[in-house]
Amino acid sequence: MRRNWNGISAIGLSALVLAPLAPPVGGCATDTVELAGSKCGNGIREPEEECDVASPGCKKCKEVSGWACRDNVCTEVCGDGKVVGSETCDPPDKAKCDTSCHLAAFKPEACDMSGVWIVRQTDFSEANVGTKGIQTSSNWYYLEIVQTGESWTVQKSLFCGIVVTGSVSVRLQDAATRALMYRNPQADGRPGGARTGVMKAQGDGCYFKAARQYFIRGGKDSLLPSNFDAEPALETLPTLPKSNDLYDASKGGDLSQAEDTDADGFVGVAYDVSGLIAGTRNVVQRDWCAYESDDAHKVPKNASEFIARSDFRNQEQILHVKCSAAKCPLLEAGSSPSLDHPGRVVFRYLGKTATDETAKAIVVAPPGADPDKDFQTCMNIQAAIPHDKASQ
Amino acid sequence: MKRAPRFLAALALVVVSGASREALASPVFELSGGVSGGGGISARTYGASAASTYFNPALLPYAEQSFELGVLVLADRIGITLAGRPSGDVPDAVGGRDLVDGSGTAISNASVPTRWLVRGCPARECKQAFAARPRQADGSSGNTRAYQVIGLVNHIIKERLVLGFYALVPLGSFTTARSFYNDEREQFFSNSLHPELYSDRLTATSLAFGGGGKLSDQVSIGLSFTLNLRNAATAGTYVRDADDYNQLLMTTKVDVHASVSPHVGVRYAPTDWLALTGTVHSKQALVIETDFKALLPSGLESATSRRSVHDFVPWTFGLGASADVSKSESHRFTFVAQGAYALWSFYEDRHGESPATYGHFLKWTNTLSGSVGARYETGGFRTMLDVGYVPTPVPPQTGRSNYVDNDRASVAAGFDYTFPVSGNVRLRAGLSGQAHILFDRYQEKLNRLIQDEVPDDTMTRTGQPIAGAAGLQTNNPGWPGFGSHGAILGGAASLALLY
Repeated sequence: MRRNWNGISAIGLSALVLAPLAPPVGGCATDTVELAGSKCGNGIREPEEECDVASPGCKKCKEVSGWACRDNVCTEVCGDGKVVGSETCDPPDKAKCDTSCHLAAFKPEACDMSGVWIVRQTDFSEANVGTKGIQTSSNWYYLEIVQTGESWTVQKSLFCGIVVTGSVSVRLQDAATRALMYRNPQADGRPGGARTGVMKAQGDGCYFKAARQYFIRGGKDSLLPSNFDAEPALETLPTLPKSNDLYDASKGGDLSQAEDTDADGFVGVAYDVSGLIAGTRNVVQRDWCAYESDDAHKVPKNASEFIARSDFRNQEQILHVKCSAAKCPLLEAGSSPSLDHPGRVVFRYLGKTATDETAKAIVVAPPGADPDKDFQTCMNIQAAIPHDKASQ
Repeated sequence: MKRAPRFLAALALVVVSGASREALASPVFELSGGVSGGGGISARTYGASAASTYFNPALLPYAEQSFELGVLVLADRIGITLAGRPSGDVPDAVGGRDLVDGSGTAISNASVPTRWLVRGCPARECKQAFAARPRQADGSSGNTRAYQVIGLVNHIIKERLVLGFYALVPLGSFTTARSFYNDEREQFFSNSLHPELYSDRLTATSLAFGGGGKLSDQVSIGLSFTLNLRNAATAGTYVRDADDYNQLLMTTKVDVHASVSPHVGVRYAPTDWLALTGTVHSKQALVIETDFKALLPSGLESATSRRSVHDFVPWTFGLGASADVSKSESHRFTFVAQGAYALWSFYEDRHGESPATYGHFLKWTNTLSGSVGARYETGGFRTMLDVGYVPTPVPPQTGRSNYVDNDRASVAAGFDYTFPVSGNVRLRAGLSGQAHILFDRYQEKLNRLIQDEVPDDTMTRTGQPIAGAAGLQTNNPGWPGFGSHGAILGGAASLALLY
């Protein structure tokens, strides 16, 4: 119990005189919290227990070091230096130990991009939803790459979804992710030809670069440049569609170049927004990204996982807003890239082909044949390189 | 001479009925009674002194002209015991803020995972570490406080117009106002229960001034006031970054309005051995009104108002009698009895909310309290003993609310001695002590009355059910029940210059 003796010093002698009159006050009554009877081992996490589940991460209903138990499910903590459970290494070292604390697939060729890669691109934006808070976004991709000499070319690609966190959480709806998996291809069909890049030896490591890739979501391909490799600024491209009323789609607008990509009845692609505010926003987005290694992002030789710098610009137009209230002003605000927060991209090597044993844990089937299996592959990729909430 | 008293009485009625407003209230007066001058906890009826200014200004004509100083020490030791939680934890998944109910509507942000409250949320899980707030780790009892006692009685016209002043000023913070919530909303702050009618109320500065006068040898009346304060603050903010409040821009505008809250008393002595008294004390409270305006970079401007009510003391009507059962030139032995009816059913808690908002059966009740005592005087020596009982106005807290209060029995005893100094000038030194026992009380909640903070059909946006959503989940710190008991002990020393 808290004891506050403030004021006693101020009364000095008077308090001494009164001391006999302020009788047995210590320990007369204290604040207590009783313990409810709990049964460790009954499989139900009771309030005094940290966990109650059959898991090596939970012993005597206490969390074991190296594990984190949430809602009675215990998972390994990657990055704490303790190799537990299914982890095969800890902490990650960007080379032999991947960011999921598994020994990375061996990449025998130094400075070579040939093979199957999964990618998480992390970028930062400001004021996505009303305030100037920094929003951290993740974009996931699947890439099959072939390298010739020091140049590489994308042979096959999948877009695997977007998650944004910060003041609020934003997630591209599953239907939109499904609809966008094969859009904005980085291989055949890319304006200007398949995406290319460079990977070559440089000092004791490698130099890595990926050409600029443009994306459109919720709009027609005519909003994209005719040749990506010309690298036009977004501002020079056709104006994004705009609606007359964010709450009433029947009022139309300049929507000739918009499309209902996810077939939800509203033009644009739909994002779920949750956290400080909640609702759904349909938007049209256009952005580009390009990757390159630099002094802050060095690529080791034979790295089966590496991080490079990501340069990113985006444009966004909100076309429709839905929330529980009649109006949701905070959902109406757009976003712009935060130039003070450089982005990064993680490349993780899975194997030479999608059917390699090392790739099978993630790639359900070679992409392009079955959208359901490709979507499951995308979800596996999100789980393998999970969203990093860090705002730096 | 007859017109003036009628005018005073009429004025008193008008003032009492129309001017009762927010006040710098007097809960410490009501708890401690008259700590000097022999009033004790029957001060509405007996013990003419500076303390009568508050308790019954009609006694002022019988008080000696004086200036007094003293010190009062109060130690509150009120223990609150929270029952163990057999279940009901808010799941960890709620912390992700990405859950919907069965209709697809995002669930409200009205709760945090119970585990965060118990152990905090580590930085690797939350964007920034969330500090633990274990239940009842931030209670507000167990304090010893000292107060300066100041009293003044001045006979402007002997016995016909007597002015008085009486104050208890905390030696420490002038007044502390802590606006805790009494339900599950407190989880975000102290996550603890607090004695509703004590805790920060015992830090209130209590101050009364007024006057009284004899209308005849049998009848006297009095009118006094406690100082009223109403604080109105406007806080305008510009939220540049919702994630970083170091960048918050803020301006404030504070207005303090003063007025008075009146109290009246009457004393009628039909014989020379019997006196009857009546008092009316109007409602008192310290009110803080705050307007918040937030401007966001998007241009959105949002505003709201909050009203805090502290140190609420209800309208209270008192009746009492004192009878000299043995009286001579050398001594006097007197019995005293009084009762008070307090309108606690109009109570407003620290957030300006009526307990009835939790359900009509949780509305507070008016209380009838009483005390009896004895006084003995011989020569310059006086002694007193009082016992009293104050029932709690708080009904069993079976619902969301957690108003902690107990029936209370009180005993007060004291003595003083008057000795001459020079001519008519004398000194009176006194000591007194008091003990208030708060009887054990345990209250058990009814689950059907508790706010379920996680709907049973809560799921992820992808339709996956979440563990622990079925049944009742609450972080209400008072659930599933709580008990309280304790004591408040006090002592006072005073020195009065009589002239």
